[in-house]
Amino acid sequence: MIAVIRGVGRRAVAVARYQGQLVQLTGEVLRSVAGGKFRWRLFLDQIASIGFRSQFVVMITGGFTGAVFAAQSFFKFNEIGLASATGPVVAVAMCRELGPVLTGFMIAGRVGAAMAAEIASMRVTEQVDALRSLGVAPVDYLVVPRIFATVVSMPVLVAESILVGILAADILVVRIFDVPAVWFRTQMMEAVTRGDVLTGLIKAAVFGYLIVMISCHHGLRTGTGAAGVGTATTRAVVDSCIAILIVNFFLTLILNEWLPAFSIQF
Amino acid sequence: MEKEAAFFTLHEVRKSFGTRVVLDGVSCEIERGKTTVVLGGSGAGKSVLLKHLNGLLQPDSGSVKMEETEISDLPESRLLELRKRIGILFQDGALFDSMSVEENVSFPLLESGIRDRKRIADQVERALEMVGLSGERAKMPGDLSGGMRKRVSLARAMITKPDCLLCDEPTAGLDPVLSDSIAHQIRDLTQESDMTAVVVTHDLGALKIVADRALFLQDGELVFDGDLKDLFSSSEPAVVEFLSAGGGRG
Repeated sequence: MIAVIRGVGRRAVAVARYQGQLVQLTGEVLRSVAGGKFRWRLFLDQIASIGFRSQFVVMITGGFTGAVFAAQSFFKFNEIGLASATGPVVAVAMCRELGPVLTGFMIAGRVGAAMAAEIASMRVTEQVDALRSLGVAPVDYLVVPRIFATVVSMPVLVAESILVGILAADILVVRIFDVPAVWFRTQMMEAVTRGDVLTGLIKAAVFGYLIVMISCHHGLRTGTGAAGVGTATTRAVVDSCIAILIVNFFLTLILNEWLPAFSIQF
Repeated sequence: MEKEAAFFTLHEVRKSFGTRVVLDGVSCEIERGKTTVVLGGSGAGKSVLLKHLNGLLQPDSGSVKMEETEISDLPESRLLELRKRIGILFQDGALFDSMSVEENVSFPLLESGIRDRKRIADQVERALEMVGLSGERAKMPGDLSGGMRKRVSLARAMITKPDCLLCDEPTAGLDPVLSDSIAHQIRDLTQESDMTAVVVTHDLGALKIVADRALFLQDGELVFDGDLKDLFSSSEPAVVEFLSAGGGRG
């Protein structure tokens, strides 16, 4: 019994320490931003790497998610004569949940893993120490440009994912399942509000921030050798995905309270 | 003759990683304008000692002074400024993988705020010439041999003309000819500018080329601190054993 309590206690301390380290890293990021030295070249490089080169993956994710969700919704709604409800359901789900969450997962896998691996290998090969030795704070150089690039890129990527998802649903439902386009599109436009879109974009920015913080944290605190780099990379992806799921729940509750003011149709 | 103030002063420095004591009450002075070699077997604490000199590691207790400044409890923001006065050559070079040789060497200049492209190009050319690598500026670190990486790292460490140079195993893993070449380059560069240098090595060949003074660490304790001549006549068992075994032969 004591061993179980000890085990739980140890785990709780580890989780608290991990959260403390993330808060500490956030503090360092804020100090760096307040310091006013912004590295534009690195920021633009990261925009290209994170934003531009992730588009294909994100559009494929959005497209097939939209199409599958539309197909499943259509099959069920059609049984009760509500096929035209497919459009609103798909569009709202893509804007509020599927777009931001699935894009977040894909970016955690593609970008978060790469960030953690790159920074971890820099640490293992003393490149992070070399930065410090040359008078450069690693957070300034490695973390801040990545945070800004991801927070800027993520809403754009999520918007692309939502658009492609809705487009795929439109093609499937209207062209293949023969639901009249007017029904599908009119009902969709009536159901989707600015609040739905804003919810997705806010979630995207928050998830982007989480992915970079978690991935950079694991990279900067990696153990030694190739095994350390591997562990850091795996933990970055797993922790980012878990954080996205947990934070998504709370954001859903909070944004539902805050954003009714934006329940204006397009 | 009055003794010149030390560049670094360590007093009772202790450092542990977990339960393992790596430095156990090390006290010594690193003289200004001289090259001090830190000797000792593997795991003796040499590299850890070196990293205390520019604040990459902080001691658990004791003090590390750079000139008159206590650096063992300085915040990282102050240390970043102080480190600009210290060049460091890491064991494997620690070149930035994503940058070419030229970008690696020019990095400290750009970070110090120099924006004049011609001035930067000239200084990079001179630094690479100094280490015999002026034709390799466009190469990436992955395309270089171990010796070339160390020479690029030396050029990067020296380009801002620091007051002090720290070298961590500069000849480790190199053949004897290349080891001698790197050791001579360190000797020439430090002598030209009357620079303070601390070289961690277990290569006796490099020791004889670069050293003015020597420290010997054994299991985290300083067991010898003196001139090179005294080192070779020392009766300290660990030193005698190390020297008679050839110092690990680099």
